[in-house]
Amino acid sequence: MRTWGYDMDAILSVFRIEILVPWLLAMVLGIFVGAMPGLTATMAVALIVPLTFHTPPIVGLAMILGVSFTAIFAGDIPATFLRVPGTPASGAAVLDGYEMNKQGKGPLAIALDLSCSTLGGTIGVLILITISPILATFALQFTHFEYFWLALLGLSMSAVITKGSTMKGLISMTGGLILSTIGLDISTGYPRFSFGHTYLMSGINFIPVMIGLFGISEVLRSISVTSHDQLGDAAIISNVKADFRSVGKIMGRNKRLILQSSVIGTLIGALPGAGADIAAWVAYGMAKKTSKTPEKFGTGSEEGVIAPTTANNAALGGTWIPALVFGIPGDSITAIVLGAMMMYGLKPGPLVFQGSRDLVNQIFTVAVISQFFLLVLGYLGIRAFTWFFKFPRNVVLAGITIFSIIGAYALRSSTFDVGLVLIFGILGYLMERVTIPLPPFILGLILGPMIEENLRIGLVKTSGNFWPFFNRPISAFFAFLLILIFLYEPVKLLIQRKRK
Amino acid sequence: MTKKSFRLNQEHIIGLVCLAVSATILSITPSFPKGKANIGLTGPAFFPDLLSFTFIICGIYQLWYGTLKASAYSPITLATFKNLFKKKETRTAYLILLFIVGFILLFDTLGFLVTTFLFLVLFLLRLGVSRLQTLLYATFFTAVIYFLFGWLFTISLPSGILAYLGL
Repeated sequence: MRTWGYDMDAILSVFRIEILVPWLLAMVLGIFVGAMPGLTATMAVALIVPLTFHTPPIVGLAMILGVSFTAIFAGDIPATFLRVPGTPASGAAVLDGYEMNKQGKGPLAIALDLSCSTLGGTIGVLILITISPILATFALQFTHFEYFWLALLGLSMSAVITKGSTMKGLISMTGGLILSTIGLDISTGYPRFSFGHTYLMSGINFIPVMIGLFGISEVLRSISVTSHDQLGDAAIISNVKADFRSVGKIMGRNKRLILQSSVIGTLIGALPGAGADIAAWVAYGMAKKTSKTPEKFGTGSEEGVIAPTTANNAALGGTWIPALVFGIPGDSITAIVLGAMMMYGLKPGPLVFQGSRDLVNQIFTVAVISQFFLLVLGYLGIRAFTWFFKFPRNVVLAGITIFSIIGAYALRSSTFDVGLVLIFGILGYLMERVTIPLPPFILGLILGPMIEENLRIGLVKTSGNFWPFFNRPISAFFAFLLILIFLYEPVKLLIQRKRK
Repeated sequence: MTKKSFRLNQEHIIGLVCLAVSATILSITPSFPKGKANIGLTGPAFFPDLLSFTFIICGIYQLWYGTLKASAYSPITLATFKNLFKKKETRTAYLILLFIVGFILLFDTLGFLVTTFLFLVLFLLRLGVSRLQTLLYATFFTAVIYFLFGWLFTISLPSGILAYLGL
């Protein structure tokens, strides 16, 4: 029988220098890659994996865990200061983080972001440690019907929560979904809207679209504004630092929201396929719905910063739940992790908790300690970006443009992706001019294949009958939530009118 | 009673774009293979068609909304298009787009180092950065990007004409 002494030995073993050094270096790389528009946390993990081939499993896993936590946070740095999300998981952080920055509260926004990311990550990991078997069992019950509703729920949230007209949110979302249909059909393999073009056959990758919509369109907007706006932008760029003075008070005021967003993030992260990006959007939507001041969302609300940044880091802990317990990847990062674990000769699944208990304890310890490292390295990362943003505004614009272009090229070593950046940069610029929100478009593109696949496979299972999409308990719950999201505002208005 | 004349605004344009996209999709999807209805297998056209119908509803709504709220939006006329080229800043934005097109066309032929350096020089000069600073920053960015992508991430960047020079 094992004793606590054995477990403590395993826990303390991660503090050896041969583990600490590569772990910290990987976290530094995560800060850098995450903050670079176009380079995702998945890409950072993919870059790290070949380096872990010849290391003991715990060294490799510590590097992977560390890089993913810092990359997800670092994506929020350009999201807050440049309105360019470093990773897709930072898409929701743009909304209020950048607005706060425009009001001169960027240092507070990023300090709040870092503190919430750390706290959210810690809560996510603690949930992973304590209730992982229960949640994984729940997620395992999901079929195509539930996944269809889940993806639709995440997408609808993004359309409803955007500023201004819900119809324009719907147009943006549908546009993204339409774009996701380009390429080989999932069921029949028929090339749709590819016109014989090889690159179109493999579909439109969301990274060049994201870089174009959020990066190049912002460069175009910055260049074409008047001199007054230029001065404003220059002030924003030179103000990159973290101001922790009132963070404690703000977090104290929002304890319930932090806990709510952490739980949402972890739960969504635990659902296979739904990663940190969906978690951030859903947490943001829920925060808006449960807020006493929902009208402030999108205008620089502190709650609008807290919810997505807490949830996206909490989701990382969640993604490890099905990966560790059942060997099912929670997202693209844990998909790479599973491959790496197999490479180390480990078989993720329920048996790993018995056969490799020391390793599981080490993983949990690394995940918790990474949060403390994140706080320190995140702060240093923000300071490092101060130096970058002190460049003259026009030089920074040139830097963003060339990094965006090469970032897109690096995907497949193809200028086709650079062309996509250009096209979607123009589209993003035009969409903003006519007040069509950009986030639902990118989410539509990402979630489109998941929605279509689950809808069509579900229909095959039921011979074309839609009823099973509604009569299963979890499906019915998600469908009910979806209806509630769309009806909440009109019903609330109706009740308010009746009361008057 | 004065008769109000129809004046096109941005909401109408959004509606018309939605309808045009839907029409394009619906004109292409009939050529897709059919699904097998008896086993509930939907064809490749099922989802795009579903989205097209959603877009049609959105388009019709936008046309109606644009007409209803016509006074809230400035009408789009020939002068609107002329104004697109009036401001220097706007012309610079168009020029930057042209630079990116040039970058795409020349990247493989001239190679990473030459194209990136040239792109940055043109970009920075157009934005009014001094010649000396332009050269410094263009060299700095080219070197940093080469170090990161080409060396650290081992991404294959084209050598272009430099390969012929043995560099």
